[in-house]
Amino acid sequence: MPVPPPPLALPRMSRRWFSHPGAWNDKAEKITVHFLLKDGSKKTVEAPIGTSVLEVAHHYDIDIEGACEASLACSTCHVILEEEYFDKLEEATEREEDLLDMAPGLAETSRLGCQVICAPELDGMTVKLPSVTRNFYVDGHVPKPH
Amino acid sequence: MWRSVTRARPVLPLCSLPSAPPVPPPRPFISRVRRFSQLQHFQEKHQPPSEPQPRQTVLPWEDEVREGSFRWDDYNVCIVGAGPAGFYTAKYLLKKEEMMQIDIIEKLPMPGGLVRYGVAPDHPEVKNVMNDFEEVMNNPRVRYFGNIELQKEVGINQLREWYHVVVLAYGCQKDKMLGLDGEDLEGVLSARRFVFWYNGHPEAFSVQPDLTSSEEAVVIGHGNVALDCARVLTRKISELEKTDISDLAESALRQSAIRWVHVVGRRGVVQAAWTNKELRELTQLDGVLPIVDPAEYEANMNDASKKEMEGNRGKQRMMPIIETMMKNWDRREITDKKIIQLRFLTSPVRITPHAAEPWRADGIELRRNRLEGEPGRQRAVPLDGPDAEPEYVQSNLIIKSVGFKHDAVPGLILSEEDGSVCHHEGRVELAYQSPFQIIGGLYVAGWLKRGPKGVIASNIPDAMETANTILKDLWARERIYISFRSKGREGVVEKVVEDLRIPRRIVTDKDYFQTKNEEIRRGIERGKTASKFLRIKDMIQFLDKSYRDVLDKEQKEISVRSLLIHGTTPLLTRNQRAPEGALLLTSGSELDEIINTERPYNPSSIDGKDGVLLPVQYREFAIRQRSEYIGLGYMLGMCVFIYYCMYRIHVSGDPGRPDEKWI
Repeated sequence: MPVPPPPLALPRMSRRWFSHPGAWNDKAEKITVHFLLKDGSKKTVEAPIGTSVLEVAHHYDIDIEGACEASLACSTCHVILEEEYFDKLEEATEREEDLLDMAPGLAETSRLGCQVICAPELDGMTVKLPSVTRNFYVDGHVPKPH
Repeated sequence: MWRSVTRARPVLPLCSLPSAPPVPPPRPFISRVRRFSQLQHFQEKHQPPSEPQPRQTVLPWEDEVREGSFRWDDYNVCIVGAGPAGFYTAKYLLKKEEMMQIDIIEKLPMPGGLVRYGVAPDHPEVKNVMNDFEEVMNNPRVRYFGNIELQKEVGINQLREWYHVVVLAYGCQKDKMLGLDGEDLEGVLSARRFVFWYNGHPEAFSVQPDLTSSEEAVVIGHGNVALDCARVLTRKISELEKTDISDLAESALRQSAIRWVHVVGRRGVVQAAWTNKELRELTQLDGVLPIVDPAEYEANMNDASKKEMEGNRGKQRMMPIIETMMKNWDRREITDKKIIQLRFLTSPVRITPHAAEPWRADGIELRRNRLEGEPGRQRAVPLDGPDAEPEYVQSNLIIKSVGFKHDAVPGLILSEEDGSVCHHEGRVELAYQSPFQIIGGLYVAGWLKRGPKGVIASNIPDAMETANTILKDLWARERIYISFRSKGREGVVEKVVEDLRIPRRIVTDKDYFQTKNEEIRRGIERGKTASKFLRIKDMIQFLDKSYRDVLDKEQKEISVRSLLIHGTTPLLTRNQRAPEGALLLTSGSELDEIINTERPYNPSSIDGKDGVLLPVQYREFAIRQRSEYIGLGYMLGMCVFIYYCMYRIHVSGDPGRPDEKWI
């Protein structure tokens, strides 16, 4: 039996957005999440319990970046929560806090969107996207004088 | 160059061409590979033009507004530099405008910029952004061309002739200098070179840092890059060897004798530019002891510094980390771990040459500083008095991590403030802060735009701004801002290749994925995540070889195909599913085997693969028919010959030489 020729290249790496692929579950119970967008408008979506805010935003095509794909290496999914809902969440880990230090437009109730997992007690929360600023060091960092 | 054939471009009735462009005759079917090699042969055959043409530079206000020649059926954008800035700009342009056609050109064969060659190998999670960028490259509206350098292979004005918009996103190519004596000695490396070395950048192939002669190394600078360098120097090789670190760096670090790395900064803790994540990582490393001298720490925490810290969350959270390091100070003599010492209020004075070999560095002289000035504007001032005694550190490896500098295209105006290109919302300006004097069709993004600072994520707001400006100008048909002479991007790369004096292999996105897969494959063999190609030469050799394999395969297929065509068998095209009971032939030898053995062939395991498909019911027919034709032709020929001979005998009675007896 002749052996078919080997493929010319290994198959491309498939895109792996999140640590748990295919986590979007339409059958799960849903909560309401309001997104306060950068232009000031509000978008209300239904989010299944167990998914992260970053996944919800990507599913509904809301502009949150998520460059490191939820591996806690960047602060591009930085969101600002309301205080009452912020208190209901678990404390942020040290690593998350370190990343938040770098986030532009940091507020008291800032979290990383990939670490906020939708739960029943978060029903009705408003997630605010931080306003984009051109100067990355708006958060108090002063460049070295030369 | 190749995509232009296959990709359909949207044509809108908006276009108002004065006369329809001549339709080129349909090109004969030649594979992409061969078309490229034909160009190469063409290059080799035809010598370069005798007179070298002068390089073009940007001239202000040269754009003539000729609406008639401007086509609006799509927007052609060229992005120079395939780093984070370029890819993010491309991403947002594609997201918001469907008619966007983007070409990305890059100096190196491989895209990624500092994601590939800047991010430390032990931070693989940061490199996840590459997936995002690969998605941009996979977009059918994007073409990627590597191994083309601006100002060498293609001029900036050439690009402005072909594209409506040219985005410069090539970042910073030079290092800031310290201005010290002995800065150019061997053993003094810029952090850029050192980082490129351990990341396998082609330009740093010849870098050979001396890791064996001294136990101490000095890193000058207090940024994340400095911490990266210190970490790579001290981290256990058993952890580094699993990453995609360059093979050369891996073997050099294996023999490293360095036990103590000084990270030197002229100012204090509060003024340091590193981030908490990188700093905390040092305290969590196995086999590494980060230390801070409590005396130095006390000296820099004056009132002004404390005031600077107020209201700055990041700086406040940094202090516990520094305190942990101060607790390690007493263990510095007894530990068997490698040491990273963060030093504050310390400036380098001079780098001293080795006594016997004066071309290489042997040590560095450091002096103590104090802070002076208002909060937020504190400067380092040399200390005088008894503490001013300079300190000498014996070291053969000194890494300067004090920042990058622009290496701008001549004609661009750099601002004096931070050395970035003068721009207004991304549009390149003719002078600093003059938003009404714009170089048409030229935009900037990334480090060129905002100066060499920030992390990958800082490109996001920046690229968004540039993309928004570009779209605003394109949608409004802003005459001033857009290159009106744009001729479109068809055949751009052919033109570039034709103009080359030295033939150069242009790398496409397909090549990138092929190279990347090969690097991963080689990495798996060596127990790493990837083993990068360290030279452009090796990479191109690999690509050429794999293309030769493709060519060989195509040749075989063509021969099989022609054989079967002469056998008048219905041929199915490539990649078509095999029907029930069909034959799949992949090479001439296989065809022979099947013809000779007449063995039934099971196509179910191989359908969908490349090859020529032949329904089984035609197989015998094909073989018989072919032999019948041969036999029939032979017999016919023999008959004609015999008849001819008999005719000659009949006419003359002698089949002699025709010129004598004939007529």
